[in-house]
Amino acid sequence: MQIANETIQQEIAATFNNGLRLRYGDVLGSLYSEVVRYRAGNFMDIDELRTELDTEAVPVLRDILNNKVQPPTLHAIRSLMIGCAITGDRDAVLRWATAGLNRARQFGGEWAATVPQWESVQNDPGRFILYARQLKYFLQQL
Amino acid sequence: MEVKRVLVVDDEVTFTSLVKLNLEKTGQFTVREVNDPLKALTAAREFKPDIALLDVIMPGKDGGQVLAELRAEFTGLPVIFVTATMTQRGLHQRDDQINGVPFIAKPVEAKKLIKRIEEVLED
Repeated sequence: MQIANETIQQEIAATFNNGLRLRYGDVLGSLYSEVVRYRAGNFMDIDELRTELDTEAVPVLRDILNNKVQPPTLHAIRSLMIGCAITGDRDAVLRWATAGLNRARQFGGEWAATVPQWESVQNDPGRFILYARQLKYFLQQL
Repeated sequence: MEVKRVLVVDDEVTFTSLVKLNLEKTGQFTVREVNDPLKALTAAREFKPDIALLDVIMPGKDGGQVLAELRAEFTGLPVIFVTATMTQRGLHQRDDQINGVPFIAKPVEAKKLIKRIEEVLED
């Protein structure tokens, strides 16, 4: 069972490389391992995902209100943005893209290079949601 | 009763307008709307708020950055964060606060907002 799951995860990773990663670049595109965290059998329960998004928003909000946003916070924001895209919540995708963009601009270095990617999501959230929902469809076929 | 001054910082114009309308019609509050977070500090200096309602995520500057600026000049200013990033249920499970800071989820009911403001001002 372990081997089967690993194979499935490799397939999912390859799918990302051919879709989100190519479209959005390395940082926003390499979402699979950190973001989707596919768990056989229960991940694509959308109600569960929404509950998880609520839970995962808490540490991000804590970092923001304490004005202590760090690169790990940006990774979490990226996760939330993808999760919200899978649920089809356009407004939420835009909110998280705004949060990510604000801080990516400040961080400089590698994160500054992601600014065009956050902007890309902001400018066309529909396309981003489409890719995420394609992922959802793919996972449901497994 | 003394009229309380409420600074509302949110890039959603509809939201700040509705908050202003609902709070001011009670006669207990006067509200200053700020839709550009970059102008929040200047507005606060002019308005001298008793409490601030801050959106968490706004273009250009987030609520945490605005709070840091405000608190640097207005020590102990009571603040309520308003957010659409969590559900009412999710926040309620955390006693409507994160790290001891009061939060309220959008969409906000006027009665609930007024009650929350009163509670925070009494603390």
